[in-house]
Amino acid sequence: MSARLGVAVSSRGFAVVLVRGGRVRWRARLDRDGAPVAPMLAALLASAPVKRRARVRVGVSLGVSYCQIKRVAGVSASMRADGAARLVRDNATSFFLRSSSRVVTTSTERGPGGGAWSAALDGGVLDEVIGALRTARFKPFAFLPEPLALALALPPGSHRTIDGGVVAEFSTTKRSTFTAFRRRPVSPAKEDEIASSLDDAAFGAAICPPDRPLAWRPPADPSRALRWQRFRVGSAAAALTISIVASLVAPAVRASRDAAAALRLADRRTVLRLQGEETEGELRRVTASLDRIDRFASKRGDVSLLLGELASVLPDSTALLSVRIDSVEVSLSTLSPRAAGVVASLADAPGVASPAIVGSVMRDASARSLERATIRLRRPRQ
Amino acid sequence: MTARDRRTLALGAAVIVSLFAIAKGLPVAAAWERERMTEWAHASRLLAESSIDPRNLNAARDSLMARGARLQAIDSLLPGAASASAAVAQLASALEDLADSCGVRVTAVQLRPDSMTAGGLTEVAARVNGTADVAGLAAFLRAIASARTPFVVRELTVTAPEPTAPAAKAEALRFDALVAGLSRTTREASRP
Repeated sequence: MSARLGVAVSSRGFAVVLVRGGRVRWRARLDRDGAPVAPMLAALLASAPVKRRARVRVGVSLGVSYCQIKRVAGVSASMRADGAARLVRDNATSFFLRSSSRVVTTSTERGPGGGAWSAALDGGVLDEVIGALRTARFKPFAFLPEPLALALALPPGSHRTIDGGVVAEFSTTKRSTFTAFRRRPVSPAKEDEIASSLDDAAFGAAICPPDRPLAWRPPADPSRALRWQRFRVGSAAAALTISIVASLVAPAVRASRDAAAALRLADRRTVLRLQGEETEGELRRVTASLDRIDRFASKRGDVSLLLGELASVLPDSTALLSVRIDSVEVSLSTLSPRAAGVVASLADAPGVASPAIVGSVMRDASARSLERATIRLRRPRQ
Repeated sequence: MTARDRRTLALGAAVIVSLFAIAKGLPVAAAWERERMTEWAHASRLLAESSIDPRNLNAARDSLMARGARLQAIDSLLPGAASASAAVAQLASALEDLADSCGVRVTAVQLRPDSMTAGGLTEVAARVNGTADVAGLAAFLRAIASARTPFVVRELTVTAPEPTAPAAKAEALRFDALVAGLSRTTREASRP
């Protein structure tokens, strides 16, 4: 909930109200007694119970001795508001009385009948009030004539206010626009009788909408505007420079980042490759061990089987004198009636091949009907 | 010096500094960019060369696990020995036990010093000389072939001294068998 400060300035004195949530939270009043505006108003504003003053919206109401409101003749209903405002500003002396060395005109506001209303403010008082606000570290938001502030604060109808020997009588609508306005001198003797409340004017200034045409909004500080413009130009130049440098450097930076990512990935793959090589080596070793065991185990029982097969194919009349078996061949020394028959019977024996008689076939010394022979058989390679 | 002079001086100084910076900085920036590009190309080449298929690695690991489990199961059947001499001694002892159980009389066991160790396995051999009848010799060979520890008869020589002896006489076959066996090299043996 933002706080708003309303200030009423008149030739009689000052009134300040602090409005928060549509209600007056604090008020102060000070009589001028002919003193200058700036120092007294600055002192009064300094007592306002506000912490962050730069954020407080301040509306200032100027008494009718410092402002004029007039229905501007010659402005057609079809004229745009900015055009009408420029027309009034450029011809201020034609529309308003020159009450001071400088007159500031506001924009124009259309009344209920379509007429254009404009206001003029005393430039000298404006400068003093702005100085007082800045001294108190407040930022002025809007300056409005006291009749408009009263129109905002009071119910619609006819009202009048007096200040500095000038009385203003005016009628307002529900939208706080004017239907009639009259400004005339009045004798100081009657001033106290019809003086309106400055607090009402201060309250109206506090609640003044930001888009009210008859309120004048001070232009930005020229030195500040110049600093802001320089800042913008500098920022644009810096952004341009950074963009150019970035466009030149970006490909290399991208390449550098890609290279770093590629190197990380390559390192991970190298680790995986080393693990793979280690696994393959271990697998080869285990496979070789298993193959060796399998080859060894496949030879088990070979000799027993071979002996069995030889015994089954040899004729019953054959006696074995000796048997020699190795991995390449089998040698049999036999004693049989006919050695050639033994060779023939061994020809079909499984597990051996190429039976042949080695050496000579001799008659046995004890039994002349028997032949001694040595037969050699080859074992198939496995 | 007027404000205009100061502005002109500042602008001139800024232009000189900018020209100097551009003249000196652009070659450095270009070299830096070339270096980054070269680094990127090198990294891309490394990445392309280090391509590896994780599926192959997983398949190799699975095969290794399966074969390792099988080898471990077989290893439990093999006797462990710290050296080839110890292994051949174990083989001779086992053969003598088998011969005793089959009624074979062993006259000599000759240990073969030659052995071959590879992949943690040592093949050792022993030559057994003895006498037995046919049944005893057959039982001895069957016992060697069916022993829990794998043995293989590499060579066998059987001689019948009296083939024409009468049937009543006790049969006595002289045999000479070269029996090989596998032994697992224990950790102590693999130490240098």
